[in-house]
Amino acid sequence: MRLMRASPGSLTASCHPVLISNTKAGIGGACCFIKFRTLKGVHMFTYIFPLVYLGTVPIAVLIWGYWTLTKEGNSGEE
Amino acid sequence: MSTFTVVVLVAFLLFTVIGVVMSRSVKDTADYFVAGRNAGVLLIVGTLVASYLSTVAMMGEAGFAYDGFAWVTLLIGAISQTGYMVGVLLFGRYLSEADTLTIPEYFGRRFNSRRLRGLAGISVLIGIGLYLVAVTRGISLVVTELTGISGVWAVAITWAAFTLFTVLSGSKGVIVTDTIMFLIFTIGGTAAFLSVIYSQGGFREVFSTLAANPEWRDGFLWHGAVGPDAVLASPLDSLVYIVTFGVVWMFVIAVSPWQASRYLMAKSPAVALRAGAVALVVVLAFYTILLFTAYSINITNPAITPSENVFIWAAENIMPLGLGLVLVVGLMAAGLSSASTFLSLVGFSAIHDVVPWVRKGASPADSPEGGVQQARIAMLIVGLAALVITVVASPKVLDIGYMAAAFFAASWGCVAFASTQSARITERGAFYGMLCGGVAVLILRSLDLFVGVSLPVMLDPVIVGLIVSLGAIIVGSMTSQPTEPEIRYLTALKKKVERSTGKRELVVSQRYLMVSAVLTFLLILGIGVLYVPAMMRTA
Repeated sequence: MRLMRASPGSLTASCHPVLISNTKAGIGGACCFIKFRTLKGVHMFTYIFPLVYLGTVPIAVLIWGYWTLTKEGNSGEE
Repeated sequence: MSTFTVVVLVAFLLFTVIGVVMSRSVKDTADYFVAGRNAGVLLIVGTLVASYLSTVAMMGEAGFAYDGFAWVTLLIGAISQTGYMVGVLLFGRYLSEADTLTIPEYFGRRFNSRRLRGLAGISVLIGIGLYLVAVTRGISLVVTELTGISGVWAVAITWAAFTLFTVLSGSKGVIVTDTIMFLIFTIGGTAAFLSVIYSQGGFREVFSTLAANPEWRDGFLWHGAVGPDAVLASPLDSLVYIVTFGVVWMFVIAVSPWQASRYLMAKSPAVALRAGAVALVVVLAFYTILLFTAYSINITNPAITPSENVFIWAAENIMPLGLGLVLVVGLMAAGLSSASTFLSLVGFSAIHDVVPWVRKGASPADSPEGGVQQARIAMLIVGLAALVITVVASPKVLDIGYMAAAFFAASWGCVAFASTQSARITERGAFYGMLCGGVAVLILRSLDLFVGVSLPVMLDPVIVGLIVSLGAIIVGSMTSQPTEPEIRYLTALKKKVERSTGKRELVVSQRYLMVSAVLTFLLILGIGVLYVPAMMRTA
């Protein structure tokens, strides 16, 4: 817990060389992971975009139709 | 004579026999023009989808998908097919209670105007008449491709296949044959498409192969195989194209005579509404399987030319013989069903809207029984004229025919919606709205076709035509007042629609919409489960 709260500078100054090396590798790994996720995210968007588009437009119009009928039903009751 | 030739000729004969049988139940003009106004959901869905899907979908759009634009075509459909819902809510369900035989008659009565009815009638006569010519030529080319019968004979056989039963049975035969054809090409066609997918290893394998191959991967992305030499140059071009054409075709589906007139035959506004919701899902699902199957055929043969023959090639080379025959019959059925609807619309408008307008008298169809015979004669004359034009027409005439969809979207779009939704639109607004929207499209499309001057995709002639039409409606309605009969007609129509939709009817209709939304979601989920992992694995 203490190490997690410390700044990277204090970490390197106060830790064993093995721990330093592991930490660097960990940070590097995290960066790689984030980069990978970002790239994956961009790709995901490219692949998911057509599906979202294909689904959203017709479903939104069907929901609008449902809502219109509900509104007409309510006004008919009044 | 090959098996394909025999099957095509037998199918033609079968449709004619069905039409002849149906003609026996035609008793009066309501039967002949609007199938007795008694059609249920299945028949309305059948005729809606069959009239919409023609060889354009099964060949033209399939070819575009094969060329690497499956997603683009499908995404255009995501917007355009909402036209079924928008159209039926704002226009179609009112038609089902309008108690008229044709849409031009509805416009005439709604605005208490002979000239508006005449204008709409002439638009149908010329616009759909030329469209009929183009479609007949298209189907005859398929007949030639499949059977080897060419020239005048191919045109004559095609013409006879849809004219005989349409003339004899009118809408009563058309709605039944449309539904049979719809079932053939949706159920049979889907089975045939699935056989193509499974012959290439199944859905997962096909999606993985298309995603992994650098040659096909681009065409499998949402924007298609864009490039400087391709039809669409960049992803932005694809997006603009998708949105613009989606909106244009949404109007076509919502108000074009060959779609909206189907609601005249519905038993009630609730039936019209349910049919609209079902048609939306059916066409979307059918397009999904059709377009991805067309693109997947690249795996087996990436060199089919012209690409619009992709399914004919698949029927002859990939599918089992039985399914190949079903697909070929379905392909022909898709074309014939559109042609029979077009012919009936042109014949009906000629006798019921144009002749009375020209003679300044009553329509012969107003006499319930005698009208049927006269309508048959009128339709036969129109049909013969279409046959002659089809035989002698130059390619330019056919191009003009293909303007029909754009013309009706711009000319009728705003007027149709305003006629049911606004009490402020006047006869003058409606007349000039219809006239100016149509003229704008004809000028812009002709400039493109004959002079080579075209506007950017975003300013498609239909978009410009809709804006012009709306402007004319506003100016026309601001400079005149709605008359008493116009307001009375609209109020009565709205009350009729309201009264015919009871609480229970409403709940059932809502269930149709809900189930349609859930099915659409499941369809998208199904594609997503196959598509996203395949693309991610090979990114």
